[in-house]
Amino acid sequence: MSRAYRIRISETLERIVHVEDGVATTLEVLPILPRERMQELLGQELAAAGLSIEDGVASRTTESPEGDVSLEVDLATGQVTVRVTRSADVKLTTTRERAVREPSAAAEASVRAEARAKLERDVTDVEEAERRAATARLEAELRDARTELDRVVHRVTAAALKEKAAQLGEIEEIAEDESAGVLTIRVRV
Amino acid sequence: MTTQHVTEPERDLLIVTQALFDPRKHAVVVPLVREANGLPPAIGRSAMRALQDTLAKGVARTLAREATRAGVALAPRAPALRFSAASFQLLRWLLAERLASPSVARLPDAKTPWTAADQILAGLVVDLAREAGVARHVLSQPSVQRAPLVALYAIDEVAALWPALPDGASLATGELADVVALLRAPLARRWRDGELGKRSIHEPATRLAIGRAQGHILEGLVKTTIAGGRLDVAGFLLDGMGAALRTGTTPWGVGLDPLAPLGARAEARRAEVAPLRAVGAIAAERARLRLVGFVDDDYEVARARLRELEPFESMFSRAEAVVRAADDLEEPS
Repeated sequence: MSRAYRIRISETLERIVHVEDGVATTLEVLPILPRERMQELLGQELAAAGLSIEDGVASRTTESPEGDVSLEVDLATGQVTVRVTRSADVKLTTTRERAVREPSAAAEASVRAEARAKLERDVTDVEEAERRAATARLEAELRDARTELDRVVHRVTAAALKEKAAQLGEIEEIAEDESAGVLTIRVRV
Repeated sequence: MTTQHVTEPERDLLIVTQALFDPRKHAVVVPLVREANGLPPAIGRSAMRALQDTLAKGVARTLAREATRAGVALAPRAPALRFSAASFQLLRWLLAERLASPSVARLPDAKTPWTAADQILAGLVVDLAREAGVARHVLSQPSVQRAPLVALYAIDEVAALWPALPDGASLATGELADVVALLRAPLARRWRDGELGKRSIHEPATRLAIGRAQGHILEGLVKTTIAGGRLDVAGFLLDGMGAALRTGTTPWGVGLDPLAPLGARAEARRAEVAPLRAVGAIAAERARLRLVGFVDDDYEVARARLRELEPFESMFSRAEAVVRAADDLEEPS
């Protein structure tokens, strides 16, 4: 009668999981003034909204445990990129057992490989969960970013219209209702 | 009257060929397409004569029927219908191979250009093969991949199966342009169904690939159509997209896996409105034509083209709104 042996292997996997999701769209700024001036006004309004300007790109990164959110606006092209990145330190452990007739290095390696494969699958699941969390965050951020950028574009349009009106003649009256998106300028030409 | 004798496999070949031109008979011949029937590499003279006759009459009747259905005048555009060896090889392979198998022998490639008639036949073969559930085998053949018209018949499948897509310009010049114009009605139905079917494809990568394939083909086709003043060649696109937009069930951006990355969904959505972007290119041409003045040389031509586009007036703005919503990442409505 032969004895049965039991091989028991514990494996641990440590990894930094890094995921991101992002989208790009374009701001539509009316060409009321020359392009360069419109870019300047856009830069000013974005700076007022808390973005920093560097090399023609306005950007802002907000860090939080739910993920870092970056908002970038290319002033020349109007391209807006919103991106969420998340990182997580993952430490996973698993144990595998197998009954064998004879203990051997090959049998042990086989059990170890099985344990590692299980850990790789688990870490993929964690990555996917992290990515989904990043996507959920991005969806929420995108709504906020759209509202914020709409306001910026309205301000840029209003500033450009005032400047244009001043070029046309003497401004006699400006009535502005930002909430309704209405701007009335009376100009004496 | 003389009686012509054909073998049983030759008879099957003739029955299947007849059914290609009559979709009501597809169901009857599906088993013949799925199973191998032992058709030899060469067929007898009687069978060949009958096959040539069936092909010539079948394609001519198909073009006439579809042109009538779409209200397209056949006479000035009737292409010369000449079949090459490619047609016979395709039909023989269709019968000789057991296409229900997971893998099949390769269709011999004569490496000669497919004639317009060959390509119409290949398109009809794809239609039948789709009903038989074996379209993948047909579309995977390198020989078939050299027939640009097939891409218009099966753009959704072609997107995943063809390593390189044909330039759409080749479909808007010469005989093929006439064929595309005459097949306006069936192609419009396919493209409408393709668009409406997008909402049942949930994987963003698949919709991205289809959209890119559509964009690739349509870019060259519409550009050449406009440059050559052949708006009738793009008629299938205008009819198809008009019908898709009229259904009121917007497929664009709808049905994408909500758990997929937002970036991938946004990219797929922008790509999948490619047919509507192509409609936009025609709308831009319409705007240009409107600016042609009475004193300009091409005033009459411009008026004639504008009249062609009149039925699509309301569709242009709807198409533009869908494209803008996709680009601005607005919620689909």
